[in-house]
Amino acid sequence: MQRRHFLQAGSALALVPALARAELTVEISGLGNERIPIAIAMFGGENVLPKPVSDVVRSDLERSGMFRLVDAGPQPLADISRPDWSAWRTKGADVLLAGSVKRLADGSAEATFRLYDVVKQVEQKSAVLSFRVELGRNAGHWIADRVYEQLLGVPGIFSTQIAYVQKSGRHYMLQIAEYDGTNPISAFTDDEPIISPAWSPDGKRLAYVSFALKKPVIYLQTIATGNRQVVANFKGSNSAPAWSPDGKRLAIVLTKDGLSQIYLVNLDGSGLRRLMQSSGIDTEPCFSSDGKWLYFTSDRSGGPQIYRVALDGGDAQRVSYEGSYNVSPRLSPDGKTLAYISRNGGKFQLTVQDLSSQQTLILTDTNRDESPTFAPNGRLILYATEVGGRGVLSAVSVDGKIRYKPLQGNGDIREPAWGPLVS
Amino acid sequence: MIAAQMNPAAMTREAPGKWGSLVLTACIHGALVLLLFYGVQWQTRPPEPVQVDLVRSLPPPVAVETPVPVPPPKPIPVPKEVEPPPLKKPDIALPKPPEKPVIKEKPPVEPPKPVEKPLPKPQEKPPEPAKPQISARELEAQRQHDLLLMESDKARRQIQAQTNAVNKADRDSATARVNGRSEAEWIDAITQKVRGNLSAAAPQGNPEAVFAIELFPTGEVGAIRLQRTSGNKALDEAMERAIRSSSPLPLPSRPDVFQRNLRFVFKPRGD
Repeated sequence: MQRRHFLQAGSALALVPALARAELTVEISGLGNERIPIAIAMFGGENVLPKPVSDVVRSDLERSGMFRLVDAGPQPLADISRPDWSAWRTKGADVLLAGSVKRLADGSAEATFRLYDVVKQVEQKSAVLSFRVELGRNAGHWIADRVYEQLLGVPGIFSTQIAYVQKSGRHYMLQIAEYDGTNPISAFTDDEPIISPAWSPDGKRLAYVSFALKKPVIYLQTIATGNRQVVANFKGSNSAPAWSPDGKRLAIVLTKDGLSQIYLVNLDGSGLRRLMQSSGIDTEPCFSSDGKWLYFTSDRSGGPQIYRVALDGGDAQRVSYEGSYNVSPRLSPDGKTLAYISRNGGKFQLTVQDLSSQQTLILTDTNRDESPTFAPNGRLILYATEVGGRGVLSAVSVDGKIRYKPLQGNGDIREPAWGPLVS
Repeated sequence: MIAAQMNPAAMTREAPGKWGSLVLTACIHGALVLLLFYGVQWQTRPPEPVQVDLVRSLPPPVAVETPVPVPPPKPIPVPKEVEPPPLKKPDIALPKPPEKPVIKEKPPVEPPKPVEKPLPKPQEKPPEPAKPQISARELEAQRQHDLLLMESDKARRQIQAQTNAVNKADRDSATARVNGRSEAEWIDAITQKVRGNLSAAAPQGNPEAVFAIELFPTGEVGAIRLQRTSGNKALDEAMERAIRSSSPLPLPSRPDVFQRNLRFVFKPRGD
């Protein structure tokens, strides 16, 4: 039939004078929708879990701002291996996630999911994972990560953790929570301030600064055991620890020789080495993920600006030029974007700078932004700010298009640090 | 309708010298009508979108050609010729009075939609009242139809030849201009549809991907081939989904603009 039509159409075309032309090019620039329409069906049997897996996946993907949820109805698919393509297409879904959960003999659970491209009518990905029933939420995050990566080409961050400092009354608590602030646990509590938590690249340890000894001292704590040790307790202040990408040493800031200067030190406190001989203040170090550069804040030219220096030597180069006040540099995982806090007309705002074009973009309209930290997939920046006089954590996409509801807690929340990807 | 047209021709046969030019006029107009007629037949039989557009596009070539055939008196009368049947109906009716009611039924059907369903209805209904007579008439109508079809084909070829000879350069440039516009409109329509169906996260950097697609005359998308990746497999797949879910793609207003192979360049970041 198809063939016959074509022949007819072909003969019709022959009636009119045909002009030889080159292949037509259709250029499509921009996107129709920046959110992918996805249907996430109930997982069959997920009621055995305290929290349905599909709920977790749905809220993760929706929260990411990259997906539009298509109503999948209250029933799981009768057969997750055979979706009704046209029905899902009619509902407007480009992709469909279906799955099932079953209880295993040992009391644990097993979840199976299948991700379908409804348009091409093919399965894109599927996997089975087993988990302890009480960790059903983590299973949901794990699945959401797989879906996110499959559909966006960058890893999902739903299984990652964040650390931050919460001040409630007189207590300071170093908290570790899920990426969205859910289920926080205290890693360390004290009546003296805690600042500058920094995750080791493997996500197993935190370096931070505690005033427990009535002065800033750098500690290293293993999260699983709670064991902590002093890394740097030199004369004066010890602050701003930053991990080298290989996780073998820290860049720290000491005042033992006068003004704040940047040093490198091994995790056990040995091998201390001053990086530069600067006459001004150098602080807030941050490694590039290839380990070749160290970005930092310095007032060597007058006001605070961001510089970088090669770790194998050479002079520091100024990186930020716009405005008279730029501090707290953080480099994106791909090393292409620099986030920092800039002062604009009395407001301290989160700003990003494209390191190849040098273009800057102010991402927020708040007044007191601090402590930017990149999500490990480089798509989001978490930062501390103030809302109604209280410290909260807020997040924004690197292009500024997606803003997230601030995370609030009892008292003030500050000093966020986004943990690494977990495999 | 066809029978009616053919009747005057039969009459003029008696005085060929005088009415020669009239015959030519009638033939050419008949040819035009049949061009429409035949074209619509495509539409009625296989209900494919392509045919719709082909039909719509057939008039334009005719319109381009009409300036040359000016010799034939009135290109516009086409509708007039469709109307006459009621008047000439007596010609048919005279030899066969009993048929009148049947014929009465037909004319009203024919004039309003001469092109729509001329063949099916007459063929289906008549058999009941007076089968033998009508089938003969139908046969003759069919024969005339075929003749006119051939005639129209010849006329069209003549017209085309004239057109080509008289002013090829002019026509070419005009066609090219019209084509250029139709082509731009077509590409624009495709762009709108595909972009509307492209759901993907705004990528980082400024990736670009190129796809080669095969297009059926119905607008259905056949093979899709990734020629240059954006560097992000997920984004490539989103683009392919956009193409696939845009099928069938819009068709050009002029069928000669249609191309079977298109190249899609995606720049999701814009320019």
